[in-house]
Amino acid sequence: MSTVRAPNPPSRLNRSLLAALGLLLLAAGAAVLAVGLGLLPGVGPDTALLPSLPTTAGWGAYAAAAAGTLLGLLALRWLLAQAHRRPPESIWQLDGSSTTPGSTALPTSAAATAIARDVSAYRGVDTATATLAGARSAPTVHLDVAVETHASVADLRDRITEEALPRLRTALQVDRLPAQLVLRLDAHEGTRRVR
Amino acid sequence: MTAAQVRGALTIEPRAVERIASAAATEVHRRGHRPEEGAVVIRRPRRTVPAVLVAAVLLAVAVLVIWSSVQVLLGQQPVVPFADVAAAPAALTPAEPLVPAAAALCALVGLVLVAVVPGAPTVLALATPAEPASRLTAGVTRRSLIRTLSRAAAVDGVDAAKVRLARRRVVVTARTPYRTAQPDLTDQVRAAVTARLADIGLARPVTVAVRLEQPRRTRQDRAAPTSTTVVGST
Repeated sequence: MSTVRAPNPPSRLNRSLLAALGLLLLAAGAAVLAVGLGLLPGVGPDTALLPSLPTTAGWGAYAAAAAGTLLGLLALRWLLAQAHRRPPESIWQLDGSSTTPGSTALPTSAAATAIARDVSAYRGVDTATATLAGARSAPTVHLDVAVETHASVADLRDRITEEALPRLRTALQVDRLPAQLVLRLDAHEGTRRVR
Repeated sequence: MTAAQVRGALTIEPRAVERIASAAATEVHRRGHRPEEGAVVIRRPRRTVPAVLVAAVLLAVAVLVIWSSVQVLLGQQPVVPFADVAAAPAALTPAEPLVPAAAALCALVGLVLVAVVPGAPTVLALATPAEPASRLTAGVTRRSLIRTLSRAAAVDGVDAAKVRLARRRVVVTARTPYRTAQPDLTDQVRAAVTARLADIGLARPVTVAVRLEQPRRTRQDRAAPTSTTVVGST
Protein backbone atom coordinates (compact mmCIF):
# COMPACT_ATOMS: atom_id res chain seq x y z
CA MET A 1 0.00 0.00 0.00
CA SER A 2 1.55 3.26 -1.03
CA THR A 3 1.01 6.66 0.47
CA VAL A 4 -0.06 9.81 -1.26
CA ARG A 5 0.79 13.13 0.29
CA ALA A 6 -2.10 15.51 0.52
CA PRO A 7 -0.86 18.90 -0.64
CA ASN A 8 -0.26 20.83 2.53
CA PRO A 9 2.40 23.48 2.05
CA PRO A 10 4.59 24.48 3.77
CA SER A 11 4.43 21.33 5.89
CA ARG A 12 7.20 19.50 4.08
CA LEU A 13 9.56 22.49 4.05
CA ASN A 14 9.00 23.09 7.76
CA ARG A 15 9.48 19.49 8.80
CA SER A 16 12.60 18.93 6.75
CA LEU A 17 14.29 22.15 7.86
CA LEU A 18 13.34 21.60 11.50
CA ALA A 19 14.58 18.02 11.34
CA ALA A 20 17.88 19.05 9.76
CA LEU A 21 18.49 21.80 12.31
CA GLY A 22 17.45 19.51 15.15
CA LEU A 23 19.85 16.79 14.04
CA LEU A 24 22.64 19.33 13.68
CA LEU A 25 22.12 20.71 17.18
CA LEU A 26 21.73 17.22 18.61
CA ALA A 27 24.94 16.00 17.00
CA ALA A 28 26.96 19.06 18.06
CA GLY A 29 25.66 18.96 21.61
CA ALA A 30 26.19 15.22 21.94
CA ALA A 31 29.73 15.43 20.54
CA VAL A 32 30.82 18.16 22.95
CA LEU A 33 29.12 16.37 25.81
CA ALA A 34 30.86 13.11 24.94
CA VAL A 35 34.26 14.82 24.85
CA GLY A 36 33.56 16.60 28.11
CA LEU A 37 32.62 13.38 29.87
CA GLY A 38 35.72 11.65 28.46
CA LEU A 39 33.66 9.12 26.52
CA LEU A 40 35.69 9.52 23.33
CA PRO A 41 39.05 7.76 23.43
CA GLY A 42 41.97 9.84 22.27
CA VAL A 43 40.24 13.15 22.83
CA GLY A 44 40.76 14.47 26.29
CA PRO A 45 38.41 16.89 28.02
CA ASP A 46 41.16 19.48 27.84
CA THR A 47 41.03 19.74 24.05
CA ALA A 48 39.92 23.09 22.75
CA LEU A 49 36.50 23.12 21.09
CA LEU A 50 37.96 24.47 17.87
CA PRO A 51 41.53 25.07 16.78
CA SER A 52 42.45 28.70 17.21
CA LEU A 53 41.61 30.63 14.08
CA PRO A 54 44.15 32.82 12.41
CA THR A 55 43.22 36.44 12.95
CA THR A 56 41.19 37.44 9.96
CA ALA A 57 42.33 40.77 8.67
CA GLY A 58 40.59 42.46 5.79
CA TRP A 59 38.25 39.99 4.16
CA GLY A 60 36.83 38.51 7.38
CA ALA A 61 34.24 41.21 7.79
CA TYR A 62 33.21 40.97 4.14
CA ALA A 63 32.83 37.20 4.43
CA ALA A 64 30.78 37.58 7.61
CA ALA A 65 28.55 40.17 5.98
CA ALA A 66 28.03 37.93 2.95
CA ALA A 67 27.28 34.86 5.07
CA GLY A 68 24.93 36.88 7.24
CA THR A 69 23.10 38.21 4.21
CA LEU A 70 22.70 34.72 2.78
CA LEU A 71 21.45 33.32 6.08
CA GLY A 72 19.10 36.26 6.55
CA LEU A 73 17.60 35.93 3.07
CA LEU A 74 17.07 32.19 3.55
CA ALA A 75 15.42 32.78 6.93
CA LEU A 76 13.21 35.46 5.39
CA ARG A 77 12.28 33.12 2.56
CA TRP A 78 11.34 30.45 5.11
CA LEU A 79 9.22 32.92 7.06
CA LEU A 80 7.43 34.11 3.93
CA ALA A 81 6.77 30.50 2.88
CA GLN A 82 4.42 30.21 5.88
CA ALA A 83 1.98 32.50 4.14
CA HIS A 84 1.59 30.27 1.08
CA ARG A 85 -0.79 27.58 2.11
CA ARG A 86 -2.03 26.51 -1.27
CA PRO A 87 0.00 24.33 -3.58
CA PRO A 88 1.56 26.36 -6.38
CA GLU A 89 -0.54 26.50 -9.49
CA SER A 90 1.04 25.08 -12.56
CA ILE A 91 0.34 26.06 -16.10
CA TRP A 92 0.30 23.35 -18.68
CA GLN A 93 2.38 24.70 -21.52
CA LEU A 94 1.47 23.14 -24.82
CA ASP A 95 3.60 23.58 -27.89
CA GLY A 96 1.93 24.08 -31.21
CA SER A 97 2.32 21.66 -34.09
CA SER A 98 3.12 22.44 -37.73
CA THR A 99 -0.56 22.96 -38.51
CA THR A 100 -1.28 25.01 -35.40
CA PRO A 101 1.71 27.18 -34.62
CA GLY A 102 2.06 28.93 -31.29
CA SER A 103 1.65 27.55 -27.84
CA THR A 104 -1.19 27.40 -25.35
CA ALA A 105 -1.04 27.95 -21.62
CA LEU A 106 -3.67 26.06 -19.64
CA PRO A 107 -3.86 26.97 -15.95
CA THR A 108 -4.66 23.92 -13.86
CA SER A 109 -6.88 26.03 -11.62
CA ALA A 110 -9.51 26.21 -14.37
CA ALA A 111 -10.10 22.47 -14.30
CA ALA A 112 -9.80 22.35 -10.54
CA THR A 113 -12.39 25.07 -10.06
CA ALA A 114 -14.81 23.22 -12.28
CA ILE A 115 -14.71 19.97 -10.32
CA ALA A 116 -14.79 21.85 -7.02
CA ARG A 117 -17.98 23.67 -8.05
CA ASP A 118 -19.38 20.40 -9.29
CA VAL A 119 -18.82 18.66 -5.96
CA SER A 120 -19.91 21.59 -3.82
CA ALA A 121 -23.32 21.44 -5.49
CA TYR A 122 -23.88 17.91 -4.16
CA ARG A 123 -26.34 17.42 -1.36
CA GLY A 124 -24.72 17.44 2.04
CA VAL A 125 -21.57 19.19 0.85
CA ASP A 126 -20.75 22.44 2.58
CA THR A 127 -17.63 23.57 0.74
CA ALA A 128 -15.26 21.92 -1.70
CA THR A 129 -11.86 22.96 -2.99
CA ALA A 130 -9.75 21.16 -5.55
CA THR A 131 -6.23 21.25 -6.89
CA LEU A 132 -4.94 19.62 -10.03
CA ALA A 133 -1.34 18.69 -9.46
CA GLY A 134 1.41 16.93 -11.29
CA ALA A 135 2.79 17.18 -14.77
CA ARG A 136 0.27 17.29 -17.55
CA SER A 137 1.29 13.77 -18.48
CA ALA A 138 0.39 12.38 -15.06
CA PRO A 139 -2.12 14.63 -13.36
CA THR A 140 -3.71 13.95 -10.00
CA VAL A 141 -6.69 15.66 -8.45
CA HIS A 142 -6.86 16.53 -4.82
CA LEU A 143 -10.23 17.35 -3.30
CA ASP A 144 -10.86 18.92 0.09
CA VAL A 145 -14.52 18.56 0.93
CA ALA A 146 -16.37 19.73 4.03
CA VAL A 147 -19.61 17.84 4.54
CA GLU A 148 -22.55 18.76 6.69
CA THR A 149 -23.84 16.86 9.64
CA HIS A 150 -25.66 13.62 8.85
CA ALA A 151 -24.38 13.48 5.30
CA SER A 152 -23.46 9.98 4.25
CA VAL A 153 -19.79 9.59 3.49
CA ALA A 154 -20.31 6.48 1.41
CA ASP A 155 -22.89 8.18 -0.82
CA LEU A 156 -20.67 11.19 -1.32
CA ARG A 157 -17.70 9.06 -2.29
CA ASP A 158 -19.85 7.12 -4.73
CA ARG A 159 -21.11 10.31 -6.31
CA ILE A 160 -17.65 11.79 -6.69
CA THR A 161 -16.35 8.53 -8.15
CA GLU A 162 -19.26 8.01 -10.50
CA GLU A 163 -20.09 11.55 -11.56
CA ALA A 164 -17.51 14.23 -10.84
CA LEU A 165 -14.35 12.31 -11.71
CA PRO A 166 -15.60 10.75 -14.96
CA ARG A 167 -16.77 14.18 -16.05
CA LEU A 168 -13.36 15.71 -15.38
CA ARG A 169 -11.66 12.77 -17.09
CA THR A 170 -13.84 13.28 -20.12
CA ALA A 171 -13.17 17.00 -20.19
CA LEU A 172 -9.41 16.54 -19.92
CA GLN A 173 -9.59 13.43 -22.10
CA VAL A 174 -7.36 11.36 -19.88
CA ASP A 175 -7.87 7.68 -19.09
CA ARG A 176 -6.38 7.71 -15.66
CA LEU A 177 -6.89 10.50 -13.22
CA PRO A 178 -5.95 9.42 -9.71
CA ALA A 179 -7.84 11.40 -7.09
CA GLN A 180 -7.45 11.99 -3.40
CA LEU A 181 -10.25 13.15 -1.21
CA VAL A 182 -9.84 14.65 2.25
CA LEU A 183 -13.11 14.97 4.12
CA ARG A 184 -14.05 17.27 6.94
CA LEU A 185 -17.10 15.82 8.59
CA ASP A 186 -19.78 17.81 10.38
CA ALA A 187 -18.48 21.03 8.96
CA HIS A 188 -21.57 22.93 10.01
CA GLU A 189 -21.82 23.36 13.73
CA GLY A 190 -25.52 23.54 13.03
CA THR A 191 -28.26 23.26 15.57
CA ARG A 192 -28.14 20.69 18.28
CA ARG A 193 -31.22 18.63 18.72
CA VAL A 194 -32.92 19.28 22.02
CA ARG A 195 -33.60 16.10 23.87
CA MET B 1 -23.06 25.93 -11.63
CA THR B 2 -24.82 24.00 -14.34
CA ALA B 3 -23.38 21.09 -16.24
CA ALA B 4 -23.01 23.22 -19.35
CA GLN B 5 -21.03 25.82 -17.44
CA VAL B 6 -18.78 23.18 -16.00
CA ARG B 7 -18.11 21.80 -19.41
CA GLY B 8 -17.51 25.30 -20.67
CA ALA B 9 -14.94 25.98 -17.96
CA LEU B 10 -13.17 22.73 -18.61
CA THR B 11 -12.90 22.92 -22.36
CA ILE B 12 -10.97 26.16 -22.53
CA GLU B 13 -9.08 25.24 -25.60
CA PRO B 14 -10.24 21.98 -27.18
CA ARG B 15 -7.15 21.38 -29.25
CA ALA B 16 -4.91 21.99 -26.25
CA VAL B 17 -6.84 19.49 -24.21
CA GLU B 18 -6.59 16.93 -26.98
CA ARG B 19 -2.86 17.34 -27.00
CA ILE B 20 -2.71 16.96 -23.21
CA ALA B 21 -4.72 13.80 -23.53
CA SER B 22 -2.50 12.19 -26.12
CA ALA B 23 0.63 13.21 -24.24
CA ALA B 24 -0.85 11.83 -21.03
CA ALA B 25 -1.78 8.55 -22.66
CA THR B 26 1.69 7.88 -24.03
CA GLU B 27 3.35 9.01 -20.82
CA VAL B 28 1.24 6.72 -18.66
CA HIS B 29 2.06 3.77 -20.87
CA ARG B 30 5.74 4.55 -20.75
CA ARG B 31 6.06 5.18 -17.05
CA GLY B 32 3.54 2.69 -15.76
CA HIS B 33 0.96 3.37 -13.13
CA ARG B 34 1.10 6.11 -10.61
CA PRO B 35 0.67 4.86 -7.05
CA GLU B 36 -3.03 5.40 -6.77
CA GLU B 37 -4.63 2.00 -6.33
CA GLY B 38 -4.89 1.04 -2.70
CA ALA B 39 -3.00 4.18 -1.86
CA VAL B 40 -3.44 5.97 1.42
CA VAL B 41 -3.68 9.71 1.63
CA ILE B 42 -1.59 11.22 4.40
CA ARG B 43 -1.25 14.67 5.80
CA ARG B 44 0.79 15.71 8.77
CA PRO B 45 0.81 18.88 10.86
CA ARG B 46 2.40 21.93 9.26
CA ARG B 47 4.51 22.87 12.28
CA THR B 48 4.16 26.54 11.49
CA VAL B 49 4.84 27.77 15.02
CA PRO B 50 8.23 26.08 15.57
CA ALA B 51 9.19 26.96 12.01
CA VAL B 52 8.41 30.64 12.55
CA LEU B 53 10.29 30.68 15.86
CA VAL B 54 13.40 29.04 14.42
CA ALA B 55 13.33 31.19 11.29
CA ALA B 56 12.99 34.33 13.42
CA VAL B 57 16.00 33.31 15.53
CA LEU B 58 18.04 32.67 12.38
CA LEU B 59 16.96 36.02 10.97
CA ALA B 60 17.97 37.80 14.20
CA VAL B 61 21.38 36.10 14.13
CA ALA B 62 21.84 37.12 10.51
CA VAL B 63 20.93 40.74 11.26
CA LEU B 64 23.41 40.85 14.17
CA VAL B 65 26.17 39.40 11.98
CA ILE B 66 25.52 41.85 9.16
CA TRP B 67 25.31 44.81 11.52
CA SER B 68 28.55 43.89 13.28
CA SER B 69 30.49 43.28 10.09
CA VAL B 70 29.35 46.62 8.68
CA GLN B 71 30.53 48.29 11.89
CA VAL B 72 33.89 46.54 11.56
CA LEU B 73 34.16 47.73 7.97
CA LEU B 74 33.39 51.28 9.08
CA GLY B 75 36.06 51.04 11.75
CA GLN B 76 33.62 51.19 14.64
CA GLN B 77 33.36 48.97 17.69
CA PRO B 78 30.96 46.14 16.60
CA VAL B 79 27.94 45.13 18.71
CA VAL B 80 29.15 41.55 18.51
CA PRO B 81 32.91 41.52 19.08
CA PHE B 82 34.05 39.19 16.31
CA ALA B 83 37.56 38.77 17.59
CA ASP B 84 36.38 37.59 21.01
CA VAL B 85 33.73 35.30 19.50
CA ALA B 86 36.30 33.73 17.19
CA ALA B 87 38.77 33.28 20.02
CA ALA B 88 36.29 31.77 22.48
CA PRO B 89 36.07 28.19 21.10
CA ALA B 90 39.84 27.96 21.04
CA ALA B 91 40.09 29.02 24.66
CA LEU B 92 37.19 26.91 25.93
CA THR B 93 37.58 23.22 26.72
CA PRO B 94 34.84 20.76 27.65
CA ALA B 95 36.55 20.42 31.01
CA GLU B 96 34.98 23.69 32.09
CA PRO B 97 31.65 23.05 33.78
CA LEU B 98 29.71 25.53 31.67
CA VAL B 99 30.56 23.84 28.38
CA PRO B 100 28.95 20.43 29.03
CA ALA B 101 25.88 22.24 30.36
CA ALA B 102 25.63 24.33 27.19
CA ALA B 103 26.21 21.20 25.09
CA ALA B 104 23.44 19.39 26.94
CA LEU B 105 21.08 22.32 26.36
CA CYS B 106 22.01 22.36 22.68
CA ALA B 107 21.40 18.61 22.38
CA LEU B 108 18.06 19.00 24.19
CA VAL B 109 16.90 21.72 21.80
CA GLY B 110 17.94 19.49 18.90
CA LEU B 111 16.04 16.56 20.39
CA VAL B 112 12.91 18.67 20.81
CA LEU B 113 13.14 19.83 17.20
CA VAL B 114 13.60 16.28 15.95
CA ALA B 115 10.76 15.03 18.14
CA VAL B 116 8.42 17.82 17.05
CA VAL B 117 8.80 16.93 13.41
CA PRO B 118 6.68 13.81 12.83
CA GLY B 119 3.49 14.58 14.71
CA ALA B 120 0.32 12.57 14.58
CA PRO B 121 -1.24 12.43 11.11
CA THR B 122 -3.99 15.00 10.74
CA VAL B 123 -5.76 12.89 8.13
CA LEU B 124 -6.82 9.30 8.72
CA ALA B 125 -7.15 7.00 5.75
CA LEU B 126 -10.49 5.60 4.65
CA ALA B 127 -10.86 2.12 3.24
CA THR B 128 -10.67 1.97 -0.53
CA PRO B 129 -13.68 0.26 -2.11
CA ALA B 130 -12.98 -3.09 -3.71
CA GLU B 131 -14.10 -2.24 -7.24
CA PRO B 132 -11.11 -1.16 -9.30
CA ALA B 133 -13.14 1.40 -11.24
CA SER B 134 -12.94 3.87 -8.40
CA ARG B 135 -9.57 5.48 -8.11
CA LEU B 136 -10.53 7.72 -5.26
CA THR B 137 -8.18 7.62 -2.32
CA ALA B 138 -9.95 9.12 0.63
CA GLY B 139 -9.11 10.30 4.10
CA VAL B 140 -10.85 12.14 6.87
CA THR B 141 -9.37 14.84 9.08
CA ARG B 142 -8.71 13.66 12.58
CA ARG B 143 -10.34 16.68 14.19
CA SER B 144 -13.56 16.32 12.26
CA LEU B 145 -13.71 12.59 12.96
CA ILE B 146 -13.54 13.30 16.68
CA ARG B 147 -16.25 15.92 16.28
CA THR B 148 -18.66 13.73 14.38
CA LEU B 149 -18.15 10.75 16.68
CA SER B 150 -18.78 12.90 19.75
CA ARG B 151 -21.97 14.08 18.17
CA ALA B 152 -23.00 10.55 17.26
CA ALA B 153 -22.36 9.42 20.82
CA ALA B 154 -24.84 11.95 22.21
CA VAL B 155 -27.81 9.58 22.18
CA ASP B 156 -30.89 10.07 24.38
CA GLY B 157 -29.81 10.25 27.98
CA VAL B 158 -26.30 11.48 27.24
CA ASP B 159 -25.40 15.09 28.03
CA ALA B 160 -22.05 15.31 26.37
CA ALA B 161 -19.56 12.88 24.99
CA LYS B 162 -15.84 13.13 24.61
CA VAL B 163 -13.95 11.04 22.08
CA ARG B 164 -10.30 10.14 22.17
CA LEU B 165 -8.65 8.50 19.18
CA ALA B 166 -5.83 6.07 19.76
CA ARG B 167 -4.19 4.05 17.03
CA ARG B 168 -6.64 1.18 17.13
CA ARG B 169 -9.16 2.35 19.67
CA VAL B 170 -11.89 4.92 19.91
CA VAL B 171 -12.54 5.75 23.54
CA VAL B 172 -15.87 7.45 24.17
CA THR B 173 -16.54 9.07 27.52
CA ALA B 174 -20.26 9.79 27.74
CA ARG B 175 -21.69 11.87 30.56
CA THR B 176 -25.23 11.29 31.67
CA PRO B 177 -27.13 13.49 34.12
CA TYR B 178 -29.09 10.55 35.48
CA ARG B 179 -27.88 8.78 38.57
CA THR B 180 -29.57 5.64 37.39
CA ALA B 181 -29.20 5.52 33.65
CA GLN B 182 -30.80 2.81 31.61
CA PRO B 183 -28.64 -0.29 31.83
CA ASP B 184 -28.19 -0.44 28.08
CA LEU B 185 -27.03 3.18 27.68
CA THR B 186 -23.43 2.18 27.04
CA ASP B 187 -24.66 -0.26 24.41
CA GLN B 188 -26.70 2.48 22.77
CA VAL B 189 -23.72 4.82 22.68
CA ARG B 190 -21.50 2.09 21.32
CA ALA B 191 -24.05 1.19 18.64
CA ALA B 192 -24.40 4.84 17.57
CA VAL B 193 -20.64 5.39 17.36
CA THR B 194 -20.13 2.07 15.58
CA ALA B 195 -22.82 2.95 13.02
CA ARG B 196 -21.19 6.32 12.30
CA LEU B 197 -17.81 4.62 11.94
CA ALA B 198 -19.30 2.07 9.57
CA ASP B 199 -20.60 4.83 7.31
CA ILE B 200 -17.27 6.64 7.36
CA GLY B 201 -15.32 3.46 6.71
CA LEU B 202 -11.84 3.88 8.17
CA ALA B 203 -9.07 1.87 6.56
CA ARG B 204 -7.84 0.61 9.89
CA PRO B 205 -10.53 -1.12 11.95
CA VAL B 206 -10.90 0.37 15.39
CA THR B 207 -12.34 -0.88 18.63
CA VAL B 208 -14.96 1.23 20.35
CA ALA B 209 -14.75 1.49 24.12
CA VAL B 210 -17.47 3.37 26.00
CA ARG B 211 -17.08 4.79 29.46
CA LEU B 212 -20.13 6.17 31.18
CA GLU B 213 -19.81 9.01 33.65
CA GLN B 214 -22.79 9.57 35.89
CA PRO B 215 -23.49 11.40 39.13
CA ARG B 216 -22.62 9.60 42.33
CA ARG B 217 -25.43 7.35 43.38
CA THR B 218 -27.28 7.87 46.64
CA ARG B 219 -28.11 5.12 49.07
CA GLN B 220 -31.54 4.64 47.50
CA ASP B 221 -29.95 3.76 44.17
CA ARG B 222 -28.64 0.28 44.23
CA ALA B 223 -24.95 -0.04 44.86
CA ALA B 224 -23.31 -0.38 41.50
CA PRO B 225 -20.09 0.79 39.86
CA THR B 226 -20.17 4.40 38.71
CA SER B 227 -18.55 3.64 35.44
CA THR B 228 -18.74 0.71 33.13
CA THR B 229 -16.58 -0.06 30.17
CA VAL B 230 -17.95 -1.99 27.26
CA VAL B 231 -15.64 -3.04 24.51
CA GLY B 232 -16.77 -4.09 21.08
CA SER B 233 -15.36 -3.92 17.61
CA THR B 234 -16.65 -2.48 14.39
